[in-house]
Amino acid sequence: MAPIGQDIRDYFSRHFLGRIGVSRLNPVMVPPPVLSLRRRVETFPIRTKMNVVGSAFFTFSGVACSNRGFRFSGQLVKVKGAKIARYAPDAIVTHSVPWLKATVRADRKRMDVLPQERTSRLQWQRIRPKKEGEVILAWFGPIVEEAIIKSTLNKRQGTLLIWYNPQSRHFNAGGLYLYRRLGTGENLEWRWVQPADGRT
Amino acid sequence: MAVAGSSLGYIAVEGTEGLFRGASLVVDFRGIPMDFRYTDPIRPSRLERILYGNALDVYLREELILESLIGAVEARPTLWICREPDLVLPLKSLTKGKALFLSPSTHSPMEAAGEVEHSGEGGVYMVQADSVSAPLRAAFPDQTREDEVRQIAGILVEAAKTMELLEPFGRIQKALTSLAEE
Repeated sequence: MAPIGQDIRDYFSRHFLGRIGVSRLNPVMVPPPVLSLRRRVETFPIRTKMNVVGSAFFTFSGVACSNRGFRFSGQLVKVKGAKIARYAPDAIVTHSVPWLKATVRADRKRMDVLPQERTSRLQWQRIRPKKEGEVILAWFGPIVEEAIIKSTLNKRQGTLLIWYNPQSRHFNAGGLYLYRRLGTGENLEWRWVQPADGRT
Repeated sequence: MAVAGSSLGYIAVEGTEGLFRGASLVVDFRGIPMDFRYTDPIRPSRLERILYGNALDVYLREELILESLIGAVEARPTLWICREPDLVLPLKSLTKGKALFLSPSTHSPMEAAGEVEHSGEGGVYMVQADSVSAPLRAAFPDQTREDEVRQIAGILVEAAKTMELLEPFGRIQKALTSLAEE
């Protein structure tokens, strides 16, 4: 709309002088609001808000663990390996669990002194060489005769204990029969046979 | 005649009443010791038993004790023999060599030394190592070929000419007992 000119206002003022009031019309229009189509997303966490009080606590150099009604006492609470203090420390030292480990030791000398133990295998012998007036009590083998340092018959268990010379280079094994001669008391007799399986 | 440079390795791992330990003994074909190693006893704490759970037994036996022993042994035996059947497979993989589980049997002897007979169980064979004893029960890891079984049986036969094959386990046990008493 075109603004009303000054000459028109003067005309009406003269014509209706004193009869009506003439007001000025402000032709300026308020500009329409401009709205953006951009959307704003608001997020609201569903979880409960959590405040970590402890970290704030421990930033100071310890918190007293006593008040008028309660006194933290080492006599009330016993902790193994640690002295009880009446304040909570600002640093807590934890100990990790050590990994299991195996310590291996070498001890060949211990094994060198242990004898080899031979049990009688007479029940498996198919050939039982004996002379008249003899009874075979046992057969032990295989045994490397030339390598023996010492041997002992364990009468309680009926086994033969053998100590070999570790430095020996002999490898020829034989068998050892144990005989009892009938009619001559309790005389025992040992007899070597080759090869080790007892075949003569 | 027995081969002078050949040797057998024996492994024993035991765990009784929460105490685990193991030992290895390498002997020549006469049974004369060449190398003996043992582990200090391992007693897992209550916390460790909780942390490891059901895996504790296997971990201690196979990974900790067996692996430590094999790693420590300097001699490299021709054949490894164990007395616990569940150790055969880890023993073979750790040693990268020949390994078997060996135990006595009550079977009647076979015709001649060196005979091998499949027992019907997977990987288990009866081996007649000599002519003066019952056949031995030998268990091999799965996938062990027949020719490898016969090759190992040949080693056992050769060693059995000059020694009792299972006897070293008795010495290991005596050594562990004496160590425990110290």
